[in-house]
Amino acid sequence: MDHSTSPERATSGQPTPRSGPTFVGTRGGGQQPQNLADILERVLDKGIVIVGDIQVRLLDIELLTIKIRLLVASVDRAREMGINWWEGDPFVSSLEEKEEEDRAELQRRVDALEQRLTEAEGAGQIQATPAEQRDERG
Amino acid sequence: MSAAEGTVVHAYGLIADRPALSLPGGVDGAPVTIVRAGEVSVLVSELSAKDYGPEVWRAHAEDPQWLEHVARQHHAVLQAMVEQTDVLPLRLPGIHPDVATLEEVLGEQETALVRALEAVLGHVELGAKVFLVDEGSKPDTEQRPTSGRDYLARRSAEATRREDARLRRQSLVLDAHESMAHASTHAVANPPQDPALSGRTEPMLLNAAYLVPRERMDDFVAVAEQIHEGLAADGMTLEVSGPWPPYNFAATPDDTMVGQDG
Repeated sequence: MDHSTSPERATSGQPTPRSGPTFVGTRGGGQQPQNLADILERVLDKGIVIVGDIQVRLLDIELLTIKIRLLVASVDRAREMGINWWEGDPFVSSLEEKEEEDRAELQRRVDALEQRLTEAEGAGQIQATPAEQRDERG
Repeated sequence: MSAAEGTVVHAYGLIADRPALSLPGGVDGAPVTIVRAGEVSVLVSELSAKDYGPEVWRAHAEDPQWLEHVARQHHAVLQAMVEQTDVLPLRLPGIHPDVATLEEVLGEQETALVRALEAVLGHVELGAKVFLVDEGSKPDTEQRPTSGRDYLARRSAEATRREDARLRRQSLVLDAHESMAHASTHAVANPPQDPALSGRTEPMLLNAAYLVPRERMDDFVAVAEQIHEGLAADGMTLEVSGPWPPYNFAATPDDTMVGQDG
């Protein structure tokens, strides 16, 4: 009803947008309420700042809003594509360190297994069923 | 300089002013009013300084429950408005000592603010996230390795398989982001969210926002649905949320425009 006075092409005759975010692609799950991460990320971290408001900029809030949890990321490929949003975030480096640790741990386990195999073979204890012992170690 | 007796002015956002707007209730039910200065119209509520003054903000800077309380209510006002008109969100905490002071600073920054609002006129924000819901089967877990060498070979093959799958997913995600960026005016990729806040435990592979013309929302959603189908084969799912007020695309010309994308 107020379209005649709309600036530019706002709401150009389209039906009003659905109320609140709707989700496509996960129809099975039904509608979800706006999650806190979505809201905090936007409200605390985005939006315009009017210079001259009472200065209570809260750098620490960013700690609440953003923790990078990139389980699948090749920094190089993303950098190529110009997507480097995690750069400079200490959390990512700690993830990389974790991968290093995982590899080291794997190596330790392999070494231990080989050691046990050698010992076992030496002692003539087992023929070809080391898998059973391995099972409990995952 | 310090808050006037008892109250502070909490500013929600700029709006493209038009008649017959229905203003929602604000923080803690406080009335929302429009402060106008020149070409700029800002939604505000007067709140008790005891509850929302600068000291209170400082005290609660890391108090998720308090922040959630304010953030949700702040957002609810903007969300109600974006369904009626174009909105330019203000970041929290945006509080001012009184209306007169606010009018003054609005007047000083009128040109920049008007330009920032113009940048999002006729647009809303749509969010898109990609989650990894199925990492794929591990083919040889049932059969026990027959030797140490076999075991190592399997570990190695499995590592290769996982790495290949990871690279493939990553490339698909970047393609998806690119396709959605093409269907929008601006695009921005944000860091994946903390599962503790999002309540989602699946790995988040993309957390992006797109500034989409209102009349092209359906097109965007169609693109997203297509992408979703494409990603499903690789165990990923795409979720689109919105329309949001264009938080991710709110910037004054002096700022780096967060949504700049070609």
